[in-house]
Amino acid sequence: MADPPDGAAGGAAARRFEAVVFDWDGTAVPDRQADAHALRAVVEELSALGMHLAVVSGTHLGNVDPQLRARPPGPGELWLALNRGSELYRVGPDGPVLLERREATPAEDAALTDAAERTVAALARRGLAAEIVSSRLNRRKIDLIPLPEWSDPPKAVIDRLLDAVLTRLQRAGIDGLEEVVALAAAEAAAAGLHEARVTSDAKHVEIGLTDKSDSARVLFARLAACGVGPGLVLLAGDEMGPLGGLPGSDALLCVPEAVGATVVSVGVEPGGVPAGVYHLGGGPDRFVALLADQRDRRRRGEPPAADPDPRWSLPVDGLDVERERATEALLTLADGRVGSTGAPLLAHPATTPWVLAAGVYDGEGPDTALLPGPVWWRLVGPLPHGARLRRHLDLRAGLLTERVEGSGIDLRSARFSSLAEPGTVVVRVAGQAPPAPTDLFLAPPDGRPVARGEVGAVRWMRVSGRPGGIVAAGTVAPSATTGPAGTDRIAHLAAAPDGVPEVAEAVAAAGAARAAGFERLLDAHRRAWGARWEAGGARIDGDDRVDLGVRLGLFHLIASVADRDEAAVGARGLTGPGYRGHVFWDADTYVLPYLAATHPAAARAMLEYRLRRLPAARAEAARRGCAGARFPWESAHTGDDVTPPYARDRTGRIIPIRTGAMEEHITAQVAWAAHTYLAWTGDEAFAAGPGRELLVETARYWASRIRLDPDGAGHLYGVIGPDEYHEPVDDNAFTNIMARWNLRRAAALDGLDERERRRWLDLADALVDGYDPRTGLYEQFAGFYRLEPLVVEEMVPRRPIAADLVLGAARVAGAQVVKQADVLLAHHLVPEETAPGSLRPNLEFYEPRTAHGSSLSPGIHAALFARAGDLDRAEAALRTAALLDLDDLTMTTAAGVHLATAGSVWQALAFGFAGVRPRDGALTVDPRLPERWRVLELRVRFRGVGVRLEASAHEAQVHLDGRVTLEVGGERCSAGPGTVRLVRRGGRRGGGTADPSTGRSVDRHRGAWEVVR
Amino acid sequence: VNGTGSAGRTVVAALDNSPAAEPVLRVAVALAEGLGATVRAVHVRVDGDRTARSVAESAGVPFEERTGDVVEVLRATAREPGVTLVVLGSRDRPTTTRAGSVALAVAEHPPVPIALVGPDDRVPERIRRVLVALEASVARREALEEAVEVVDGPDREVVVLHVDDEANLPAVSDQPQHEAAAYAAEFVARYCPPGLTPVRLELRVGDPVQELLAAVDELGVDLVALGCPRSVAPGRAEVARALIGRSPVPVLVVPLSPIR
Repeated sequence: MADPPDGAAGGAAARRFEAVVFDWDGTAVPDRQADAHALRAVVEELSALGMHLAVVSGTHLGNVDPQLRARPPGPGELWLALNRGSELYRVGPDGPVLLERREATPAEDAALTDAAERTVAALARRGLAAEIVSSRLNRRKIDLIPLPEWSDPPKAVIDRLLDAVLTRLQRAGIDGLEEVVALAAAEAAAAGLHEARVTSDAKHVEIGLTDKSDSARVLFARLAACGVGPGLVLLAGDEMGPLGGLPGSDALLCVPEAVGATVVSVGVEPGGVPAGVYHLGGGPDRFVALLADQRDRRRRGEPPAADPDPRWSLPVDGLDVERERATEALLTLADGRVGSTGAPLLAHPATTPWVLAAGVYDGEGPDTALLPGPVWWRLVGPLPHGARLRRHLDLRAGLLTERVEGSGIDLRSARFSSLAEPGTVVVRVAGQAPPAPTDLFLAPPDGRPVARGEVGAVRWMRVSGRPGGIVAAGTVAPSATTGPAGTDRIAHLAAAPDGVPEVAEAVAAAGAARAAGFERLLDAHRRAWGARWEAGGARIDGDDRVDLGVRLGLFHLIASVADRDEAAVGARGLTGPGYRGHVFWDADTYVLPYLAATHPAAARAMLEYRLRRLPAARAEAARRGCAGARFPWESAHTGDDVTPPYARDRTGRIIPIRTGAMEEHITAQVAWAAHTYLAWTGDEAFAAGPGRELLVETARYWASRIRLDPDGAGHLYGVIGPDEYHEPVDDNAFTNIMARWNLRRAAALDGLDERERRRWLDLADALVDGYDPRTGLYEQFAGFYRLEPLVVEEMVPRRPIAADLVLGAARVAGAQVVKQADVLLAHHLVPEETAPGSLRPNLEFYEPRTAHGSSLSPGIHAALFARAGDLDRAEAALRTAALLDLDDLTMTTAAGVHLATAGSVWQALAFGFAGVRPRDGALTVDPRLPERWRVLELRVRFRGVGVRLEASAHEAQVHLDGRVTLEVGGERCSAGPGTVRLVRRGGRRGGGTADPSTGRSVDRHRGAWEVVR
Repeated sequence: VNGTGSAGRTVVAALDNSPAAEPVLRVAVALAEGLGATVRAVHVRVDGDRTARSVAESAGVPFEERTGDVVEVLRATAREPGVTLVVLGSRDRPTTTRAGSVALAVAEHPPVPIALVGPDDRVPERIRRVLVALEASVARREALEEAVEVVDGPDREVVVLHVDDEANLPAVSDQPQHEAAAYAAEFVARYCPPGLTPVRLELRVGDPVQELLAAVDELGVDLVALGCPRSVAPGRAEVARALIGRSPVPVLVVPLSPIR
């Protein structure tokens, strides 16, 4: 690549990075005797400013640490990846601590010695005298030029050394270093090392078990765990270019995991550098100057950049007045407690800067709605006409950057809502601001009276609702320690569901955040996000758009749910005011499973929300003459039902809303959520205490709600199922199956009153479910088959479609037109409660009759199609669900992201495509993947053990960081820690290509999975 | 009404000798009130001028008589300096529900908004409540902006009616008690420019003409405004053509820019 323009940092490197990974000899220091005090100083300063640094070297600790002697204070990490990829140290104030070491087994060690001796012997046979000069950890080093004048050549004479070695090789009839390396690799293989790493630095050839590429992989994984993607990493070496026909030793750092990093060489590079590498030259002095430039950028208060990696980012160029509010919802930053939309810093009529706090409501009854809080990131002044606005959401780190250029403005900013310190919000603004004397730091939400004041340098603002309140407090201060500065606005939002938080509380938290400072807050925030993705990431390699939609959904699932105290998760989470922030079954059924499987504390907080409203649920059951607890269809602060009794619908009609009175399956969903949490976590304390209470109280409700007919059959009359096109109905199959599941699950608890247990089991057995073993079909509710036999798939131009709007509510109510998965939802949620083999016939019957007029429907159908092996339709349904908000298919994304849809997408991947699901203490793994997906990667935690699945249509690996019971192909095995490999037994490639009757891609012809022993 | 209009704006009342002449003039006067404009009556003489002249003179409105092809003369009049709006009859008999050929021809590629008035239209003294039929497009909101200009008085009200048909219904509609409100809020945010007089949104689903006509009755509006592509020729702007023929209140056709 062409040389960069002049400058201390050099073109491509002239921007802020978050980490530098660098080679030691020749890059950071000229030789091992050199004074490294300048390097040491800048390394320690950068660590204090939050930058991560990693030394990569073939040598051992004794050759690096005494020379560098850096004792970084943090928060930035200093790692030493040494011994040619075999060791990793973390250096703290007290010196290096070993984190990882690859230890050769005795057999590997003997094989290394054998390989080195074979290589020396082979070279000798060609007439070249070589010597084994060292036998270090996991490697052997052979000197190709053991002559006194070349005993310790400095890096600066590499070209002369190379000439001398090549001359020597030529005399022996060896055609360069490539041939030596090939010869050594062959001898290593002969010694039993089939994956040996063989390299040469011209003087030596080394045979080892690891090399710098292993260091690079480990470091980029560590950086990802710190919330730093490769696009924010500077990778520096001095031997990137080829040497004697071999790739340079530092080129090994450019592993696939590093794609996106900015790669520079400060070396001589006599053979030039590969494409994509910037050749700066200048040696270690230039490298230290690069680090000093990074330090100075931070000291000047340069805002961090978003990682441009398209898999991990949502860039938005310009302000589209039609899409702006939907865009702002997608760009929302949240920390589980507080959410702030992605409206730009400068005002524009099309923008809606919202701040919402989870569970903090205003109003009573159906009018209860989330209380908007003070806006903390706005500046005074309009977005100038003609200025270019660019926003970029970095999903890996929950960081939103913004740049406004033109019309006399050049404004850059970065902001985040701290996942590490929920409530703390930060924006750094730099550049040329509009001519405004003050800023709007802490602006009142539209039309709301506020109280405000100052305590010292801290400003505060209070919004009081009934019953909730929000107080924001914070400071505006120069962001730089040197030079002209922008500002850091650091605030804390304290929110209370009951009453208004004390101003002093918010002021104290804001003071603590101010004291920590921008860089420390950012580092902690990045690490919190990194940890969440480590525990709960998902990746589809093979469909970039869906992959991004999936990741964006997971981003908002993570951001919208608190992991302590209680989590009230409204239908749109913290991404917008839609649905007034009311909590529906969406939370228990669609959102919670992802969190139970990846971050149990958040799932537990969601259950805590229900537990604290158990008294209200008991009161509601009693009011209806029932026992136990009946949870509300729409819930807010008190736990009383807040479903509006009437509404004006899209046709302009006033319609009664009966879901609050009749959509009762919500009560079983709460029990199912508790069960799901337990299945993933095995949390015994919860099982014995609050979890048990939820199961028992809900079972008691159903026991008192079921009516027995003279024949002894049990019925649930007058309910609404998930298919809300039909209301009310009797014996909705889904509701009855969920109630039966609820009764049986509760009856399995220990220590129950035996008569109550027996009664629950008898009622469960008596409850009708509409199943006909002759057809394999469940009748959706009593009388469904007598309705007009419309097949909506054949009647509408496209699906999903809101069939009640197209055909009219009355016509739909009288027809076999289904809004969303109803019978089929039972197959998804409680497959063990449905008749064996009944998925396929019910899928074939009900799906064509389903309009998918609910955003909850496509994701569930994607899961079911995948389980049924109908992969084309599974993929199509997944695409609809994954892109629902990204493409604003409903034109209501402006009101917030459909959080339950995001949850359903994850369930489609986990339960559907991957077949990863807990069952009776084991984790089942049964992938059914389209051929065009190269890899589906899914990370979950099962019973405290980190599980990472990497699967394709025919092979899979399960990486475990602890021991678990896996169920594969119907067989159970205890596995981990380590990697379990799976293959499809009897499967043939392409075995899932097409069903001859339908032409659809299916995988029925593929075999079952089995563990490779 | 024969006073000085602001900035020389003029509303032209195109009077013929049909039963529509009198209501046309009354609508022109009411619209001019809202716009702060003056009114001129223009008559293209074909076979007499007594009705048109009498109607103008009894209202005290200056009367101009022209000759030539009716459509061409009216088109030329619409292009005259200061003319901001032309009002003419939509049909000449109360018994017909088909838009007249002159009305449709003048409404073809008009340089200014055209108000079309039927012989038995309800005509108020001032335009207080306007129904704006709005398509879901930013480029289509000129009709709304025009409508806001013509409404008059402290109790003025602009009702935006958006009719979804099968082709443009969103894919899903989750909980009607929240979904309609979310959709409506976003519709107003997108298509009703901020800063205009407060507007009320009414949503309907179905056939646009039927829903528009039903809403006119139900909401008691004085005028219907709709944006129309540059052409109302057969096969295009069917909603506009149908409404011009059947609306019981005047229809303001606002020429729209090409979609951006």
